[in-house]
Amino acid sequence: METNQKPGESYQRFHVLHRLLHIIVIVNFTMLAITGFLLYFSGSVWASSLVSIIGGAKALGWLHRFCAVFLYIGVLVHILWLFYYKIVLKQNLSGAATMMPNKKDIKDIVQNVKYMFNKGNLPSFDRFSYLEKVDYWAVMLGMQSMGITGLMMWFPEFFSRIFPGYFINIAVHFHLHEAVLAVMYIGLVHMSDTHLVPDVFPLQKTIFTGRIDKLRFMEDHPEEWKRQQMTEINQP
Amino acid sequence: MNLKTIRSIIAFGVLVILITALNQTSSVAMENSALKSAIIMRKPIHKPLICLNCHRARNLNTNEGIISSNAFCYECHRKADIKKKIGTSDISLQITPDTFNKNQPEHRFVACIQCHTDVARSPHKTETGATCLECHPYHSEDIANSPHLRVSCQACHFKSKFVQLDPKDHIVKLAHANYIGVPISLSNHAMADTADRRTCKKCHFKKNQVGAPAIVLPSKGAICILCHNAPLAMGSPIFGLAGVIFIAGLFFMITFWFKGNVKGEETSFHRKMSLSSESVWNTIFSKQIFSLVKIFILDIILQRRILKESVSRWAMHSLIFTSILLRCGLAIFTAIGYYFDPRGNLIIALINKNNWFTASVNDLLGLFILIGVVWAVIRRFIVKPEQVTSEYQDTIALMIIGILVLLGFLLEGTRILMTGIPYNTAVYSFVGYIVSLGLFIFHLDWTSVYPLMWYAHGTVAAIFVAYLPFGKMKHIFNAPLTYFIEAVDGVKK
Amino acid sequence: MQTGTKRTRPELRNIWICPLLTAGCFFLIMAWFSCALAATDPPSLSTWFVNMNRYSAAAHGSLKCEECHGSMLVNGKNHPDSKVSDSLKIQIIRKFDYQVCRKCHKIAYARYLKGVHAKAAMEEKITGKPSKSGYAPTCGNCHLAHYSKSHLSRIQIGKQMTETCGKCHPAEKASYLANYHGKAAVNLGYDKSASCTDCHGAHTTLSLKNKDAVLNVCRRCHPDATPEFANIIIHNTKKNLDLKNNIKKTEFKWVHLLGVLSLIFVIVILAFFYMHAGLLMLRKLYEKLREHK
Repeated sequence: METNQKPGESYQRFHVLHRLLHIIVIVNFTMLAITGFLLYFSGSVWASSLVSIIGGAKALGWLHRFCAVFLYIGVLVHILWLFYYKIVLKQNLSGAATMMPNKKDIKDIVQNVKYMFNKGNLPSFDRFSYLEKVDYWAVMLGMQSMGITGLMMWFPEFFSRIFPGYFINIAVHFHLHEAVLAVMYIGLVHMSDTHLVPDVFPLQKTIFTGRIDKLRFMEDHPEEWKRQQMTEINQP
Repeated sequence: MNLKTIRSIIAFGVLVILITALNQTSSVAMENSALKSAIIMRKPIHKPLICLNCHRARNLNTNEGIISSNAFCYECHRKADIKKKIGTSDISLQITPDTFNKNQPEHRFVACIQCHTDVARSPHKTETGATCLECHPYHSEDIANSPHLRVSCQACHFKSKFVQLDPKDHIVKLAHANYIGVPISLSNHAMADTADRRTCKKCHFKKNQVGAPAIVLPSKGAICILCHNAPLAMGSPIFGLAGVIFIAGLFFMITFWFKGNVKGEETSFHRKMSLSSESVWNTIFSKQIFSLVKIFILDIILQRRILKESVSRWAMHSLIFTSILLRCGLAIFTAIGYYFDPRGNLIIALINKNNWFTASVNDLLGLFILIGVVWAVIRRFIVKPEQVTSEYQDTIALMIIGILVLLGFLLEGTRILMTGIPYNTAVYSFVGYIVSLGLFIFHLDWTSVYPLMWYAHGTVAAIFVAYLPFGKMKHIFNAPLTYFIEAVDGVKK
Repeated sequence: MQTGTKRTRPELRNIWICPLLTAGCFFLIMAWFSCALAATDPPSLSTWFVNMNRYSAAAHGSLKCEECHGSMLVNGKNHPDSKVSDSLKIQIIRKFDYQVCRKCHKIAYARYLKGVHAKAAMEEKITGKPSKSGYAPTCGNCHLAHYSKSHLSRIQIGKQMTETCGKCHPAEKASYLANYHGKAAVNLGYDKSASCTDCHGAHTTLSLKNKDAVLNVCRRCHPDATPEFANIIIHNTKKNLDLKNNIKKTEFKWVHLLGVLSLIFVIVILAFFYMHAGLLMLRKLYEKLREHK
């Protein structure tokens, strides 16, 4: 996607829609995690007290499902935007500056591992580093499986017409395990890779303001920076 | 030992034997109908136990409690010969556990007295009938709500097709006799299939006596929320179409706005959207949001700018605008409140069109709108001040609102006549009541007229909503947006 | 750090600690309050002493002792009779004649006779041996005649039942509490969720091995349930399960296997990414500290 050059130090990286959707994801994901684990740990005393503050078991269930639906609407809006991007704006959905994984990512992984062990330089990332792609695809794919297993638990009468009954039990296991994976991943890996890295500690505002500092642009996404400089030279 | 002593000893022995025999605890033989012996009184062992066998209140939170409690009632009511005499007819009051569980399987763990709350007493009769509302809230607006507040649950949900309007409380109830007056038994607890529209024909036919419209009318659509408590549903396809046209109109309006220059960008619609949404985002997440809120309250809700120019114009516009705003606010409050507390007295009062508050407030606000429209018509077409130019779009806008409110009052008058609301209830809908008095002169079949009026009012309402993004009514979007942009861009008037 | 190095303002850099600390304190206080306020019921062991306060507040509080226990004179001998050799060794709950309960609780007694517990009691009488779950319960095993309160709410009954039934059926209790129904009914006090007797019946205890019986029971709250719905496993435990039914066996196997696989998957992924993030962080910190970026 093109970035609009602003004179000075920052460049636009994220569109308003992306920022809005990301805030929706933050709020709803947090609420889902809280309400979900309050149910799972409801045996403990702190959980049952918190639940009675929220409004009891019924309110807990309602809140969890509401946030799930809201979050999934966000996913649908994003998918609609992808259609708009491809069909109306006539851009590519796969390529160097997109979220689709490609061969360069493998090379970047190898180089990054070497860098971790002090045997090389930082890889030269394009618009999205492979870690950011993992973040994105974890949510996209995770939403589908959490959504389906969640729906199976929400409408067991309907799904037991299609699947055998014990599939609901499998869905319960998958839902729990993936919830643990999601929370542990977002809470520790995503937070640290985006905000707690020494260069940007304690908070990188790019996802909220949409603008990225010139320095960060040059260091974190050098391939895109180079491409951006070329287009500037060609269009004075 | 003489004879006297022997006789006394024998007499004493016989006495002892007699007393011992009489004091034997007779084993109270219990068989299947366990309470039989309580009724056939053998010599009681321990008085408190026998009484409490029947008369203790069971814990209806348990399966055992419910079954034990029901056994009390079934003791008499399962018998084939249990009946009541009405006139010369014998009406069966029989209901057996099997019949009940077959006809109402969802209630097999509900005790008799949980519905028939006031019948386990002497005299053995009920004032209230079976109260479904102990557990079930009223229907929501999209199924059967405010028109059916005057209908008892059983009238629709029970299989019996005979209904009547109770003159004492004006509620439509199951009739205890068929239409030729022969008493009928209602004790089999059979339920109707309310998903099948044919059950509605119990009441909804021409010239019915219970005040139902001759056909089943759809619910209000979501677009009706501008004035009425409305569900999140389409209602009639007319409303759906109006909604679609409204959204299409909004779409055209927005693309028209974006035809011009946006922050220096002339051609790419996508880039214009980007730039303007960036501005919106940066405005919302900044200190300017407070001044925008102030403008919203003072200039949009309270119409300060018009007031600055002319009090009479402000009054005329507010009669229309503020009344619609208040009606819309009340409607949204009711809709959300119903969602949170469907049984609350406040919400039921707001949904009930005959409640004194709802009726009088809605009629008053409707009257205000009508007065405002009439004032506007007089000013625009009769007084004709110099600076006012009238285009056909002005006429259309005023006419739609005016006709809509007029049809609304006519519809209300028709409803009052059709449902036969007594004077002391109807008088709160003071405008509708006067209309009904006027309509009363015409001896029409109101059950057939009401659906026509309903569709007339609904169609004009649909046209009103559909027309909003076109014509002069666009100002409800344009004016606030202009105020906000002026404030943000610092343009002084 | 060398002198002259530009420092970012430390106060604002670490401002995120404040909300974190506040949240932490809030949760600690919540936990403390909840523990302090969590009331526990006094233990109820069989004892010769009846607490009259609790007795008069209980359901049978208006009954006189001899109405259930008979008179003090048994077989011409006064109670207690030291001549009876095992009078101090018998378990009175199992020796009491529960026919007296029948005097008032006729329907419950009749329903009990139809259930699995009564059948197990009969078998025990014949063989003299207890079943897998222990000795078959009669009235006194589940009900405290002296102290049971009447007219408890659904939630209170459900919680009590989980403890009572759970004494002999611990695997079922644990699996029930791991299931949504247990969590909602017992932990969160949701009265629309099912407790033991909603499915198994209180006195007509059903073992629910028969599929039709299961479906009938599910339909009490899930009226749209289909026969396959009855195959959803509630007690996810292999203990006490008659695994003669091969279908049930394979179902359990699959659930368990897929559960373990997904857990392994989660652990592997987390381990990998934690290592990745950790090493990357260390390396970047090293860069920053060494080169004063």
